[in-house]
Amino acid sequence: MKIALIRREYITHLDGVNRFIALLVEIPIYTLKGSPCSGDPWLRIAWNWWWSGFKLLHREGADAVIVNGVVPLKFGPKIAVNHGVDTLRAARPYLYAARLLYRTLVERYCGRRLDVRGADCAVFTEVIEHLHYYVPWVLSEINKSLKLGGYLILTRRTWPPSSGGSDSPSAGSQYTDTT
Amino acid sequence: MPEVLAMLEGAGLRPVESYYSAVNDLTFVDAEPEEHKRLGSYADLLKLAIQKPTRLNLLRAAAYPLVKLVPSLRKLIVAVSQKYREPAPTATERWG
Repeated sequence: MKIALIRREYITHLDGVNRFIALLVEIPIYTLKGSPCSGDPWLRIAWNWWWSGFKLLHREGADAVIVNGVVPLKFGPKIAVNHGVDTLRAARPYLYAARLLYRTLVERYCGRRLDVRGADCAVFTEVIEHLHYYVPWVLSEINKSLKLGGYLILTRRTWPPSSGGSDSPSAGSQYTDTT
Repeated sequence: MPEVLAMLEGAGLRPVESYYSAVNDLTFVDAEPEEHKRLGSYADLLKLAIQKPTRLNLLRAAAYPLVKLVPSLRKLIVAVSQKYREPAPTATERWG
């Protein structure tokens, strides 16, 4: 099975997940355009994905696509990934747009509680530094999603360091062993 | 690094491997999309800095040997951990 990971914006703006997968593991990288868009390119990016994205995916024989964020893509099945918890809380129209655009999607994880159990592996890259609270809660949710003996691959930028507040990663977990 | 490992341990995940990665030190540069695809080593970074001598590229090329020598200066921490127990919430008294 061929799974394509797509980043809607420039390759120069690779986020943690894509950078980790694309650069630590050697997989082919394709770009829709040879040069970045200028000005305010959101409409152009949406148009490029709508018009050229599915052609590229069909040409490369992709069976499924993992989308980071929302793009208008004529392709299925899709899995949308969005870790912007705060963004989604503030922008409900974004959720409506996601539902409209991903009518054929398999599963959608939009920064909410994960309904996944017994996973072999989870990837959590360059997200912790964006979470200013509830880090132990998020990690315990990932723990619940994994099977016993499952692996978590986590990356974190060394800068900025955590603030050291009561809910910071350094403050320890509020979840303890039951035994 | 110890902070990240302690955080994982507290969440019921036992760290099995951890290291400082230089991937971000190699990729945060001024490059065109096609040039980004070719960046895989310090030699590529030097070539890019010569072809496109922007401030970011020159500083990155100058700093890269240093971050390779001193791992803790690298921009990314990678930790692989394994689940060994289930988490369970406990009552925490905060205003007592």
